[in-house]
Amino acid sequence: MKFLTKTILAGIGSMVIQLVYSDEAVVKEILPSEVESAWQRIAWKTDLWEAREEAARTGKPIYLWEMDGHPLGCV
Amino acid sequence: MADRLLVFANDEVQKLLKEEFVAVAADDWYQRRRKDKVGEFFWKVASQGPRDPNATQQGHYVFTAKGKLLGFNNNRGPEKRLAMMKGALKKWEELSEIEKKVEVPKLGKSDQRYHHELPEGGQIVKVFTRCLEEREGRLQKLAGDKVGNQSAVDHLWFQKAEVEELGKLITDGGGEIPEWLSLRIAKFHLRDNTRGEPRDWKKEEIKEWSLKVDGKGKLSGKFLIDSADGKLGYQGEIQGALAIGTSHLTRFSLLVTGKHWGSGTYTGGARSGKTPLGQVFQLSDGKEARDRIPPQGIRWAPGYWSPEK
Repeated sequence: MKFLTKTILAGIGSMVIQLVYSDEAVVKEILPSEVESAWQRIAWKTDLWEAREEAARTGKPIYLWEMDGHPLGCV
Repeated sequence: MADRLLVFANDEVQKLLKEEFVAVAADDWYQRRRKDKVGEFFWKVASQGPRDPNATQQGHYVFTAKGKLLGFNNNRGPEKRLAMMKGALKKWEELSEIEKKVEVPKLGKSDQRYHHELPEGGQIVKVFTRCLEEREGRLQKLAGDKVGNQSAVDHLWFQKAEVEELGKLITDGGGEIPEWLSLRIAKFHLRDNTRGEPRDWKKEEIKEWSLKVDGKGKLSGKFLIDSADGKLGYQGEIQGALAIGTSHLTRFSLLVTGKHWGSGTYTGGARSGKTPLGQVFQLSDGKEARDRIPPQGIRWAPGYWSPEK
């Protein structure tokens, strides 16, 4: 998808608009920005039992982020 | 998703989490249902919190490896979260060594109904989704950082035999992508998950569909997905590339652009009318724990692996 120029027809009701864009530019718009990815600097575990084992080993409390839909990979 | 940006990008929150805590994230839908040691331990902690035991247990918890709850909140914003974390740390420091130490038993067998792992030899594709708008003659992300403007992420899973089937399709000169993959993508991954959990599409809602690969691995397709009442839908086109080495994907890249419409039960606040949505599918090496999170659509695993049934 390198520097291809793409034309699509996009319908809005009865109106048809022609959009012209660079694929690579659109990909860049969709992917998370550096700020949006900053949470990844935290070494999140995804297994509560592993976290418990590490907490026991290192003498730290556990911080659990619990959401309906995985907080790191659902939305 | 708002927490990722509003709280966990905050420098002080990050510093505290890295230095003072073991950080873990989990899907409450699974965790509160598990009938195994993980589920038992989770409920030991959650039952000390303020949540109704018959409802969601989502929130932010701090607790000891023994299971003593030290802090809970479900507020957004770094100030309240930091206050909770610092309060919990103070309680932690006041505990005796006996209260802090525990011999963690072996996990044993997990409840397979509520615990999914990538099958051996399987592969992961990350799926990023973002609401777009046309400005200055091109598609761009929405201005501002309100909920719904960020890039959302999900994961598409392949089994080894499925990759091999795709490889044979390319070797044979290409053709229509098999129904199992087309429907998996359509039902579980062509969705607007930018404001919350979207529902799966039903097979009969996929009104138009084509996705084919040529002998060089170039992918192209288009689709129309629409609810029976026409209030929720997504229409667009797919382009991309697929490459397979020895029984292994070496490339799976898709760009999906189209228009979506409507709000779901947990995805309220959609823009009015039919508005641009973009998706990028990228192959992942799965090295990070966050990359191995199961697809949102795999809660009922047989339906994910055999979406045509």
